[in-house]
Amino acid sequence: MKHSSLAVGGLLIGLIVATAVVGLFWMPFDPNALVGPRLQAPGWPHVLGTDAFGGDIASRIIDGAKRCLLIGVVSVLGAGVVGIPVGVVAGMSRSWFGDVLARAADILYGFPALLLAILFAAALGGSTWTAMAAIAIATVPAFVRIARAATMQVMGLGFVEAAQLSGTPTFQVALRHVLPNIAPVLGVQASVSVGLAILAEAGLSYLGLGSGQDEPTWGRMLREAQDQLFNAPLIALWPGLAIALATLGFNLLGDGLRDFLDPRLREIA
Amino acid sequence: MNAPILELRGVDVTFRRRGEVFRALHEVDLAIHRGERIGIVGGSGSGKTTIARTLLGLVRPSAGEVLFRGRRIDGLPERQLADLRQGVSMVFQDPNSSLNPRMNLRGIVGEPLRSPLLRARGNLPPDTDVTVEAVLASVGLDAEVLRRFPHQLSGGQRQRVAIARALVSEPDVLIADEPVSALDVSVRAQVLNLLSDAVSERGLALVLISHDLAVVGHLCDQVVVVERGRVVESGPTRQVFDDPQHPYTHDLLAASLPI
Amino acid sequence: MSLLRSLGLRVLGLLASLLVASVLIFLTTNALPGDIAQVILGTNAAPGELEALRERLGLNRPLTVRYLEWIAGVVQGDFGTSMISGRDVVGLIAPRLEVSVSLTVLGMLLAVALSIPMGAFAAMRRRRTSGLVVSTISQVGLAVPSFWAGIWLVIIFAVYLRWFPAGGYVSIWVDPLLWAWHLVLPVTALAIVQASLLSRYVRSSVVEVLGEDWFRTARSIGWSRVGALLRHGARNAGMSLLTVVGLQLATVLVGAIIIEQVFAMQGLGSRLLLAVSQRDLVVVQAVVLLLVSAVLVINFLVDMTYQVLDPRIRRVGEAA
Repeated sequence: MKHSSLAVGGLLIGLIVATAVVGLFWMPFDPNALVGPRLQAPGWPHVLGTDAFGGDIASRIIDGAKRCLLIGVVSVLGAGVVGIPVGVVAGMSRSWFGDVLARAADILYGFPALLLAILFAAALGGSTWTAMAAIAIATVPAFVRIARAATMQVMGLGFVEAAQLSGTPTFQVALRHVLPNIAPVLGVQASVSVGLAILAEAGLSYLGLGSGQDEPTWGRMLREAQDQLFNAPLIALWPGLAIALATLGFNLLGDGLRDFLDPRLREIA
Repeated sequence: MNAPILELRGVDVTFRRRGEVFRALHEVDLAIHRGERIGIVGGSGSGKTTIARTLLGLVRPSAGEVLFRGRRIDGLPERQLADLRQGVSMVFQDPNSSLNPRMNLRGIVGEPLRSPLLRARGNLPPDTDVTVEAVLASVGLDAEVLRRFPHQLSGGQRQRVAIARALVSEPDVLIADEPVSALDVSVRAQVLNLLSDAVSERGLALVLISHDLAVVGHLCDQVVVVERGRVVESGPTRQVFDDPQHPYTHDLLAASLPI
Repeated sequence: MSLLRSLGLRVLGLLASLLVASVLIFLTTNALPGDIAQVILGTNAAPGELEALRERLGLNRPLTVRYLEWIAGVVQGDFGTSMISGRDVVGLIAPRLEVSVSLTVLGMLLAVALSIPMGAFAAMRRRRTSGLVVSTISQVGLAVPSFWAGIWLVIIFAVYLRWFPAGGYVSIWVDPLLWAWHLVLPVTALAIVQASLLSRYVRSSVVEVLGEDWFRTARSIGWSRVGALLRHGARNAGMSLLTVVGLQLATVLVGAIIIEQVFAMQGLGSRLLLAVSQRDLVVVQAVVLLLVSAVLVINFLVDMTYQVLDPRIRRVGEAA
């Protein structure tokens, strides 16, 4: 029963990753081609059936897995690369500078990725890139916050001061003392953020603000499925299920990882 | 005797906490000479740790001077404190938090040797396994612990590592803030003796901060009694403990276990 | 710090945030590369036409001038005119407000109403299977996209069972019963995800209360678990819930935008998306500013309520 979150989360993510990896080399059919009769029920050879245009749903789901992971991971990585250094600096700073950074992050914290993506789409047109950029930017404040909080926790422990007293320059202190000790907390945040990113991207694609026509994502598939609710409601099951499982996987992983954290840091995550 | 190596002259320290001003130290004078062992005693909140932090340049006095080898160091930026950083080392109270849990002992003890600030002074031992092994041996730890991590050691062993780290840069003054308070009673004597031997072998000055008069009586030849940020009494340990002049010293002695 | 002074500071903070938000929104819509005139008129437009449109829309003027003009207008209630239709933006938005407000407010209310019993139950039975089941349900609820939940609600309750309509909206002023009937499914879809999130906060607040000394004291003198919880824990959990509700408001607003699409409702969301597809920047700016401002103001109010309710602050006020 213990560590079940971690196990289940890991399993789900493993499933998605495996699907995506398989999809890099092989898919039952070309996800963008019209390969069968429309709206066919699950069976053989279309294991999950076909959609309103005649595309193989299973292939499109597998294709979508690649995109889902790509967008989720890249956005969060981008957010981390910007947010973590800022947070660490804010946490190590003893002057008003740190507070100003923290305040700025707090103000931006609640700004939803969707609104930002809408703004980008209005100015530049919606695409995978605007979606990733919007999600990444919207995730930065979360990383700043948590990196700062964790840094401050770690600063309160003696070894950071001991390092300073050993004549270690501040940058080295951040790199060798702060970062390795806040890494686990950041890992939890990253996992949770990927889950949120996947949901955000799904919403964006559903609204037509994300990836384009030839790049099926699960959200987009749901949009297409919606027109067929009265005819073939089952089409709406698979993409949504995929999104839910992927998000659930990352959420559970984050929760599971939290249990392994140093109790001193656990409250922050 | 020759000039003091580390000195506080008329030092006031004030802290600001949410708009309120709190005076931690009042006109503190303290002179530490080469080879001296000075104990600083007082109840909790008396300002003992603040004295240590001021000596180390971590706290800036609001009045008075802090001198190292005759030169003022108070208010200097970190990059100008190379002399102080090499010359004065600290051993912290809690061995659990004073060592980086994610660094192995080679990294922890060798850290001062990697400092560009200290290295620029020119007389730092080389950053090699040999140097680290030697200082670990002097605190009674075997070379094989180099690759180990703090959580693999006992509390007493961790404190030895902390002492080793303090000694590796060949300082002139060692400041120990409650070095054994966080340790099991059974281990304390060992670590204290180790500290004492290390200090005498190297001819270092020792500043020992403790609320435990027995510890101070055991190790220090001079004692300074601090009450609410003021030095209320000071002098040779035996004299102060046998014939205390200040009521606070009386109280401290009365409250402690018989030596 | 006196209550009045802290209030004043927070109002300043709110105004500063609103200002910063407006600058960011303006910059994001207007300062990114790309020629709007080109997009509106298409790739075949003649250079003369493009220039004329740019002039008419005022795109050639410096950014600062355009921003100040916009803000000055907003403060007076003038959100500009649509780039596409030329109609007054306020007129375009106003009829849609009711839909969005209904969705958001009811969604949040239902979420809170569901999350309290869910969270409390999960906390009180946390060592038993039933509590774990509820916790798991909330985990799953968190992961489900709200629009997927909405689609399934439509499939089951509208298409299959025909208990509720599959979409549309009726104003409360026209027919309150129809209004409610149309809102049942969309509000539920919104609330499912929110309730899952909120219930986790409720759960941890309650777990905290259960472990505290005064709870155990209350129990020992004979209060029932629920009674003691209500008496002592309600405030604690309530404040934590309040904070989260404030934080989540933006999420619910955004969720409402998506839900509108599932249920074909004519709210702010659909108008915004239409403007995006048309690249009607004036409308986009206006709606986004409106949404963000609503979130900032409500967070401010939540913050103020928190200050007033927090017993520590109150005691200071009484002493003074």
